[in-house]
Amino acid sequence: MQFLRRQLPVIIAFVVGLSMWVLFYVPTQKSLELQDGFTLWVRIIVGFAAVLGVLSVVNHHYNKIKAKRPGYAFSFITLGAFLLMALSGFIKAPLPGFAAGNNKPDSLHFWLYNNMMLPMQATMFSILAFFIASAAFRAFRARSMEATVLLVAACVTMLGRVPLGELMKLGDPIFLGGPAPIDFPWWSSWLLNVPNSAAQRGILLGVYLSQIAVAIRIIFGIERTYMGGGD
Amino acid sequence: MGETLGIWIAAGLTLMMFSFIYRDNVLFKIGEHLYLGLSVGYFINVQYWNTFYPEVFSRIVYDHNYVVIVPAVLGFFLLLRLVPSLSWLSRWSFAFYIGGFAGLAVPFVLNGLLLPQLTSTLVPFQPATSAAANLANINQVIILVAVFSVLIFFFFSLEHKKLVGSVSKVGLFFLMLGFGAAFGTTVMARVSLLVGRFQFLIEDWLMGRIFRAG
Amino acid sequence: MSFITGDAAKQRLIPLLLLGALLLLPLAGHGQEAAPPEQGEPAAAGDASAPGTAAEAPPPLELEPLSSPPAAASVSSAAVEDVPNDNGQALGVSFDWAEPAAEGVTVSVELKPDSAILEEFKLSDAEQARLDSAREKLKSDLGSLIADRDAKALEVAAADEARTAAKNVITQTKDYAGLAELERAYWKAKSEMDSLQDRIDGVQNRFAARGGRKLLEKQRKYEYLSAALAAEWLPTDIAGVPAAEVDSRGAHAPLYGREPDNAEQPWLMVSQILAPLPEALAAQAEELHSSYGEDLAPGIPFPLKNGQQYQVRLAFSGPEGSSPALVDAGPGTPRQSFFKSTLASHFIIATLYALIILSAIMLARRNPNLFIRRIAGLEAVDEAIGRATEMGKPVLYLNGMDALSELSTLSAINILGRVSRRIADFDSDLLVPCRDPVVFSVAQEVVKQGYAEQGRPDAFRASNIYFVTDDQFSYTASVCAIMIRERPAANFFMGYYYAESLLLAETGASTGAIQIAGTDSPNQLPFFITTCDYTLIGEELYAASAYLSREPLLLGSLKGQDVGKALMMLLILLQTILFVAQFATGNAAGEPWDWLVKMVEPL
Repeated sequence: MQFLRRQLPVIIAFVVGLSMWVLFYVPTQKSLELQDGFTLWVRIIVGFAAVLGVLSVVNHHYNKIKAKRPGYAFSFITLGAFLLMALSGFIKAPLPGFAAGNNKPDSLHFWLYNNMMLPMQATMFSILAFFIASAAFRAFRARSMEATVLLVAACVTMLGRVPLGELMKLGDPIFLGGPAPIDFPWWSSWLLNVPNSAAQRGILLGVYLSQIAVAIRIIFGIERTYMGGGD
Repeated sequence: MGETLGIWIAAGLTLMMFSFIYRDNVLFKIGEHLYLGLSVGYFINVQYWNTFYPEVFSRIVYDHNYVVIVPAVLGFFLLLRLVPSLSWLSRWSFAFYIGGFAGLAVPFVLNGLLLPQLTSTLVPFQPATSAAANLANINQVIILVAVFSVLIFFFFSLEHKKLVGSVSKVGLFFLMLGFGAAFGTTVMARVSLLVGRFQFLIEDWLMGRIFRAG
Repeated sequence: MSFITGDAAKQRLIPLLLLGALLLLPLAGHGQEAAPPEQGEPAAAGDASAPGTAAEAPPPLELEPLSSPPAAASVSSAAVEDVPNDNGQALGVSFDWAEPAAEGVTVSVELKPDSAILEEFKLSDAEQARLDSAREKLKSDLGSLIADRDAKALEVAAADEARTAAKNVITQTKDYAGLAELERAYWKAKSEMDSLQDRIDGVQNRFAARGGRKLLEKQRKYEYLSAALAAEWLPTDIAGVPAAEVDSRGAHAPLYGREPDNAEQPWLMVSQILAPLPEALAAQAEELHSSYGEDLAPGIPFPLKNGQQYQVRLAFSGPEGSSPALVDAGPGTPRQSFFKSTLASHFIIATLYALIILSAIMLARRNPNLFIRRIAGLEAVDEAIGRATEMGKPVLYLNGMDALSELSTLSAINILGRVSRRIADFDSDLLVPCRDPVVFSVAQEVVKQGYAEQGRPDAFRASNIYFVTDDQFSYTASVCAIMIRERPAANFFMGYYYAESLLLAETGASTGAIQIAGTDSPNQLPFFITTCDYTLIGEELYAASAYLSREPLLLGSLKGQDVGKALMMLLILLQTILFVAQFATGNAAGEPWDWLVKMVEPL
């Protein structure tokens, strides 16, 4: 029993992990099928997990209503919207003005998606414009060396990308073929192409090495926090 | 049906979500809870119609392909988490899922990400025949210095003292410069999103539906 | 600590207005076009003019027909080869032009397979009987459904056209009642058609469930292929390739390596034969559609078979007035490889790195006192949790927006395991809203284990680790709402984030919580850095679980990583020295001295 609970999962991770690693270097048809098969299998597993997820949401809001926790009235909206959206996709309701089929264009399900979900999604996304302004404000108030460098680079890049910045150009080129001291579009693209891409590379090279190391730790059963433990 | 109704509802919901900028309020609470319920309902439909129905049900019942019963059982083990005495079975599914992706990651990260980043950093210098070539060479030197100092900055075995400390400082400087540039670029993209949302409110809703000017 | 103590909303609006003024002022003359990042598409206009210029081209010269037309192309040699490093379903055909190909010459490859490839598609007598009875049942079940559906589809199309026409002129006619009538007619016809289609689908599904569909597919393959084999030479997926677009080995580095022999030689890769619709079947198309609802494919592709011999020939057809040229390329047999030799160096690098990591872990087992530099963000974890306990407020922990298949999410989960232990010690609440259902399940398990290991299983509340939704912005809105309503005293943002990072971190900062972020998403790092108190950058995220746990094995792996990084830096350094030497010795114009790059270059 202990074997099934503790050792077997580690063995499964090792065998599956090592196979997927090695199969990458094996170009046979069987190997390709196994690699495709893995992605399919994972999708199926995730599909079942989705049921757990939905049960969790329903449970969360049901409990809120049951315990009459503050704001529980809003949980009715969530549960109602969930039922409406889920059922409209599963049940063939021949409502007037909508396609009879579920899960088809013109159906109630897709009408709800297009006219309710999409606009709210787009709005939340666009609210970012306000938040980015306050984040800049915050950076402006932080008086450290690093924050200043960040802010100056951000301002230069921003000015280089608006028409106003294009109008401002001052001074002679610093050296032949180089930029003028004030030439926002030039410095903006230089900042992006040179320091930004170099910094990203430095970060990513380290990140990729770490990712491979984490993957190796998992395959060889050294990192197994994800399995929980005890019983 | 419902084109006009749809635009009215969409405009109403847009305003409700926007109200969050001012502060948390009843309208936002309604919108947020509505959005949540709808998205979960949508999610379960996507999972059913894109995965369970074609990949499990249809394969077993219509194509008589019984191999998919194995992942279905692994998936079912996840549901057993609801039964405390059997919840340990879900670990087999976790192990399969995480172990497999770890195995895929090793060659994929190495071949697809790490080595391309490494080799694109290493570019030969150009013969100093033109101003553009000189500029490219200077940039190449800056890139090498930046990449090198950033790598030193992250070194875990070395304390940030003396030489390592100074090199790390250079690395940190380049990191901040890079972050600033990324920040500045994103500002513009975000503002254009906001403009897009206002366009909907003004053109489709106000002009098209209220004043009927469109 | 947060800077903002007053009304966060006002502070958000003031700078935005300033920013907006800055951005929009110069835009006044430009209209709204300047705001979106994408530029217009002048290319489209260029394309549109292309047909016009073509039409104005002078008419072709009229040539007197020759008594015997010249061959379309002249080719000096043709050969077939097995393609290396593939799955055994492809053949390479190479040739050389004896004289440059004329304008309009196209190349096709034709194959003659052995008739043995038919065997696998032949139905046994029992299978044939099963198929026949299933088809009989299908036909009687369908009855006139297909004909009814087809008639209804015409009706729907007509109704749709009528209502669209009416809608287009509604502002003039103002005939809303008439339009409503047309709408009703359309939806009535459509729902009738949909229900007919549903009945057809149901019948077809029953046919499939009886095994009919699978057997029928097999039989059709047999019929297509046997008819095609009778015609001897079969068309392939290489058909009518213009001479200028003929491939070469040099363009297929994953198969042939970076610098293959004859890299530039004209070369084509065949991987399928195409069996066209046999005439005998085409004659029954109408009957098959109306009685069985079956629509015949115009052709069925068959991948080449590993180990099967094929005769190969090239067919060149040219401009009008020339005769097609056929060139025999001889027989060829595709064979699968068991190891991608072009990736050998990468395989060695991966193995070497794995060995470094594993041996560093072994060493750490013997000598557990390893030095790891201080990571400020992780030192602050205890402070953050402590403050939450003092204030009696919960701790919020996010695992990022990606699925568990991403290693950044997995790292976030590992850190959660460590953080949950501290929280169990401090006795405060831990909220973990999740975006991915698998992450949710694993997070629950990990936190439960964390509490159990600290001897506080009673304090674990499973309902505090919950799934919110899969939708990016619905998730964001809900988490922001938690921050504002529950006021957690510490927020952890670990894992990979997208645009929502700023919404989350800004909202968190406005509530005055201590915020610790950790991500390897270079595009979101700037936002975390400006809005969070501490940020783990890139690989610090991956080192965090080792750092917090102080487990020798995990710390050992960090040491191994540093060795790997040192080797990589050495490579960068040596290669840079080579480049500098090349530049300094005045050889910069020649072939680059990139020998070290070549060793690790990806394909």
